[in-house]
Amino acid sequence: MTKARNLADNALTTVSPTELGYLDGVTSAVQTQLNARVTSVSGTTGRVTSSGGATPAIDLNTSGVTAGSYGTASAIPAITVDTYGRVTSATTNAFSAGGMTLISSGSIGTGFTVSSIPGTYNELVFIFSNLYRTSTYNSLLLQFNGSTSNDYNWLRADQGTTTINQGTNTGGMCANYGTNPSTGVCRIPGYATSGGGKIWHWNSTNVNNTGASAGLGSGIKYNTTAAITSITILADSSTVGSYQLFGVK
Amino acid sequence: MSKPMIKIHDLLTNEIIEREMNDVEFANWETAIAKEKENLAAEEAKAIQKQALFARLGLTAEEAKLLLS
Repeated sequence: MTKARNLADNALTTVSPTELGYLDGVTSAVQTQLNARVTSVSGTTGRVTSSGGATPAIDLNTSGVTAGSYGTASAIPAITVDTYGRVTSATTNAFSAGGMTLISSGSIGTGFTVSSIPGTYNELVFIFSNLYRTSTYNSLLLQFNGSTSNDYNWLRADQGTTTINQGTNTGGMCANYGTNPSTGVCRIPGYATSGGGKIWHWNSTNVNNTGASAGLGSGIKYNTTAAITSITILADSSTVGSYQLFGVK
Repeated sequence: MSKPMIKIHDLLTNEIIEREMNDVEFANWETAIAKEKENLAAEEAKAIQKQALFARLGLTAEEAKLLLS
């Protein structure tokens, strides 16, 4: 005891005032405080990661979801959230109502292609909205399966009210309503089947244009027999409008 | 000179690419537009001829349609 006291007395004489200041504010035994210090950091596996040492760190684990924005005008987001409030899954589903599924949409621009069309629908329906032309010419050219030879079809975007009388060979058709802007609809039945029975003709005798403009209407012609998996729409640069493509069951 | 833009939506991958048309696509676009302009011009000329014929016959389009029905 005496030796310990002597040792402490000697130590005090060699400790500087600055070093004594390090103990300023200590109200309990130094050893007790040392025992209470954080020596490691732990976290639940899969939710947080941790590291110990003098400067412990905690990090959130990644949830496996790709960072980004989910959902568009035509895609409904599907989100899964766990009990900790983390998003663990994020995908989108195509908008579907009444047997109609919106499979593609956007502005027409000078052209677009919808490819890899699944053969799971009975028919395809295009709706062209707010069609507007800035010159005397505007038509939407439809091409199937990338064919550039015999498969021209067109929807004239500004012809006044148009009535289409279907002839015996007219299984598919386009119709157009209104003027600047107008709305057009193209129906493409049986697109997924190959072989005969899918021959559509545009024929002026099948089209009765009751509008005042000179155009004779709009139609569709597809003279090949392969199933349609790709549709290209081409437009003059004076055309403004948007499209929606539905698969119909 | 820049070429027109084309958008490609692949429904299998849901990938959407928007780019300038390549040479083949641009040639196809020019051909298609020109062909349709020809079609439109021919149909307009035919409609004008038809109207002129109706006028010479003193018939309206509706009357001619009724006559041929």
